Amino acid sequence: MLAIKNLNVQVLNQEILKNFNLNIQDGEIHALMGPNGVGKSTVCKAIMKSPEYEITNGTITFQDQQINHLNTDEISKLGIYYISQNPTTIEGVSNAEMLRMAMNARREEQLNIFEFNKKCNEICEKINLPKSFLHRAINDGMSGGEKKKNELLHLWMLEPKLILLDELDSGLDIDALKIVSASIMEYYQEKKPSILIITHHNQILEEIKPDWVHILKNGHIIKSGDKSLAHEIEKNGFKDYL
Amino acid sequence: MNKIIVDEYEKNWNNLNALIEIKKEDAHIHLSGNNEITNILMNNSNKLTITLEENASLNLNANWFKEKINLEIILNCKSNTTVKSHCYIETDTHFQLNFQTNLEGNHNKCEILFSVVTEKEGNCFIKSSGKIAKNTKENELLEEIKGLSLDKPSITFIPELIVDSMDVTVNHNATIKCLDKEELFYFASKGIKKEDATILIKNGFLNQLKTQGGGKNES
Repeated sequence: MLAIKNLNVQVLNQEILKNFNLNIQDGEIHALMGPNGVGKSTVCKAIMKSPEYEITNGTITFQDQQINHLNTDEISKLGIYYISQNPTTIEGVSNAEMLRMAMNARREEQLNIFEFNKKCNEICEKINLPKSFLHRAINDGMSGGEKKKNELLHLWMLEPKLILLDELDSGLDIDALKIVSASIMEYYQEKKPSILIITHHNQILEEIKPDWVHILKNGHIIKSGDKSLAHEIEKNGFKDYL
Repeated sequence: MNKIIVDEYEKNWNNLNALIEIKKEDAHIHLSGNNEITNILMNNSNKLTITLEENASLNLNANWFKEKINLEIILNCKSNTTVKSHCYIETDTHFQLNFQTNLEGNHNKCEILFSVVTEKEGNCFIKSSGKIAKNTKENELLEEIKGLSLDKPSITFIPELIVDSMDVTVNHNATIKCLDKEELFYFASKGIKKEDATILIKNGFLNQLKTQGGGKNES
């Protein structure tokens, strides 16, 4: 599904990722852990080709297609979905307007408005989100939990094959984290996407159970293991990896 | 849609709902009642003045491309009146607008909501002059002015408030923003290319004041 080889990434001329390698197979869940500032979020930003993140070496391949030369919108349309730790607020633009444009961008023919409304309503019911969210401005005036639920609405509508969760647990209390994680797991059971979770904490990994856990240090993965590695981090912290 | 051609210097209308085409070099329109102007075609006219008479409201939506615009909107409040001017403008040209507000009596409410989106070589200069006369009571003046710059045009707002009364509420808010890289990245991460994201941002920006303002005048 996703293969990252020998990746070097710079931000403002400072090298953050150095010789970073990661392989995610179809339907696998991976967690990338590490203390603050080691470049975990940079991995997601580099995959999504965020403008400030410059790839100076290496390749990113998604479903056998090299994507590091593509624009962000083209990468998204291939089926990669990114939820940032603090989703952007956009005043004046409703979720429905944005979703309709995003769905039309993935199709050759324009989406029928009735078909679109039907799908919106079905998804809102499925994820237990008031339909009024469709007409609210994107993440505007929403709490941390509401923003993440709002991003889930987009996820279910756009049906990605690879989900990048950048500190999903940030800004969520334990109950909200359980609700959001349960919805992601429901999506996982239904659509079998691959998932990359960026986190400091084990808590989210109790809800979205990873097949692989990786520790990031000095810009590359220094240790990989199964979920027990996350338990070890929870118990001992990152001090053994500093 | 109604289209009205202005071919004389001075013209009066009540409850106008139309697109206006100006044929005179210099024209002056007086409006009363609730008015909707869907666009103004200037045809190289030098200047248009719109005066909102007592208890008048104006909703103006205009797309001014490739035309130089010099517009003056005068809001006259004598006594116990509510006058509203809501303008939503898109332009890529040199555009100059003067709002002139005169609150002369007591118990007046005057509201100016103005949004402008400039693109390409657009150059926008907005001056709002508010005068509240001496010894007047319980007047309210609200000016909410917002500009969004899509490329590298210039937007200038100049407020000029002359308040000669102590018994008055005056609010002047002005904001200018550029196309936000973070917003563009957010839309791109949903699969929306820059051109389409710009349309969403532009429409969203103009809609903000539309939803905030009531538009019509009930009094």
